Amino acid sequence: MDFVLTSQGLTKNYGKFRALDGLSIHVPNGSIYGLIGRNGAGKTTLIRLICGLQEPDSGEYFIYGKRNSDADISAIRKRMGAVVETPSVYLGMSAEENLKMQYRVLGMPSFDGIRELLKLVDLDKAGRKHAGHFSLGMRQRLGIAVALCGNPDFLILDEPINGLDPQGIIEIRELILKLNRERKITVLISSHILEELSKLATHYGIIDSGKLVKEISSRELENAFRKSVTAEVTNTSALAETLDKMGVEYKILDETHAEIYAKINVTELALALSEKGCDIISLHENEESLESYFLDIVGGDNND
Amino acid sequence: MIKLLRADLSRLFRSKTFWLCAAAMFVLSVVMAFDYANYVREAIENGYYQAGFGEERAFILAPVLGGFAALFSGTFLGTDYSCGTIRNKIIIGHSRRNIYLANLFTCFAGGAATIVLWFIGIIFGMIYSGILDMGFWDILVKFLTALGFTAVFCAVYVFIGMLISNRTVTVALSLVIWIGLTIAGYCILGEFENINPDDFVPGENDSFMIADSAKGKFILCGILSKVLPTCQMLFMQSENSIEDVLNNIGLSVGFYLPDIVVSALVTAAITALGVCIFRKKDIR
Repeated sequence: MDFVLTSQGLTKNYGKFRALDGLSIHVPNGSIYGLIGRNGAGKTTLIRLICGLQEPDSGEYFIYGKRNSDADISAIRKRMGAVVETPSVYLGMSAEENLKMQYRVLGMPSFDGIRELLKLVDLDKAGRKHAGHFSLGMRQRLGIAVALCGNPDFLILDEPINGLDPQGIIEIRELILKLNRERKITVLISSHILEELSKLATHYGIIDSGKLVKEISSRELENAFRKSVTAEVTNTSALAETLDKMGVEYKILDETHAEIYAKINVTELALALSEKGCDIISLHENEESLESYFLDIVGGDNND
Repeated sequence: MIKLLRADLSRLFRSKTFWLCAAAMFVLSVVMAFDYANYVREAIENGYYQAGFGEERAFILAPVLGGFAALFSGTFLGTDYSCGTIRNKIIIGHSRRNIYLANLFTCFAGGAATIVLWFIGIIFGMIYSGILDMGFWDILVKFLTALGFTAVFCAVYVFIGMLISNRTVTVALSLVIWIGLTIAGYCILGEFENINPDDFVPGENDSFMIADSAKGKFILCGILSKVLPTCQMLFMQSENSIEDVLNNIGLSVGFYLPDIVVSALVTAAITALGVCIFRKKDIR
């Protein structure tokens, strides 16, 4: 597989606190890689290191195969764009002026493309209004537009939907999907809002206590989810007997409810239970969520 | 580096703080120009005018320059941190050394523009008074000296601004340093103007020399007068250089080092240290 970003044994300490502890990551080209972890897990520290804002204490990372300590890593960084924590925009400038400023920083020969960028992030009608007067969602979109100056093919977004209203969340989600699908931009996105991330990501990395504890593609994740059926019956003893005969894994929850961990033939089960004088009152199919999978991996009891 | 400089300059020259400082310097310089012209006219009318009279009034605004530079440099540098935009420069691969130097050159360019406005006022005052005792070279030396101490001030402010990530603290600390250096400058100058009689011993031909016990203090004051931008500013108002002052009190200096050379060395030293520290700084 072709990777945009890999790392080996990345470690970063802040005083006595170890923010990253030998972290290794693999971000496939063309993916939307969701970096999942609770607050303080090390997501932002990892992003700061990758963006060159901080230096690792040990370990190394590669962007498009270039090692972070290589002299020419700067040239590779031109292929990157990032929004780290808060959008990096001049609050006293309009959206267009902000983009012009970033074009100058990049040394772009002309301002061609700015109108297109503003349209892409839906700020083409913002006019001369200063970014300081923008809503959080508008500022976030402007931050992404600034990160997109210079046509990067690797975009890093740190908690891009934090604090946004539902409409803002939908806008950012659609924008990220558009960038990935239409512009083929690889996106590394960190979030602790798992439900939202599950609507976007093609790959996941679960980070906990500075370590990457699991990397999994969305397809693998789907297969890994345990599917179950909650059955409400009149007699769980009869149900247990029947399920034992069928060789199916289950768990009795109370006198009338049981959780069955398999795909079952409902007619077959209903007939078998009917012979034992047991009625099925209801059947409810459950699917494990990304959230429960994450909690299984990192241990829910520690989660605050 | 050129790209950064272009971006930084365009941001500085659209900064309200910078234009307010530059405009204030220009207005003050015009006011002082009229004051100088009236002062000289009065001296001519009363017959006590002589060459070089009132020049200290013409350059009286020199100490203010450092304060204006602290204001616009601190605001300019602090904004990059408060808005987080310094991250945009690093993320796309600009080296920290280039980011630092571009900021220094930009602040210096702002300072130089302010000096130009100030000198326009001075020259206007001289022309208006009808007295142009100072030759082109004298004015040029003063102008270069002003550029020199402004570079030192900018180096100090950029050092503070690049290492402190808070705009308010950057501006406040820059102003405090300017005030502190100005007070230090006046104190050092005061040491030469009000020499304690106990520090003198009789010399040859009824002259007086500095006592050996006080030489160390005056040599230190002499070095600081050369190195501190505020001392250079204060000496700018005087006809004498610090070398002349030291010679007058019997501390003969065998050579003359132009202020602008000292300023360039001090600026380079502060900048080298600042770049080294900024390279290791964690940006948040």
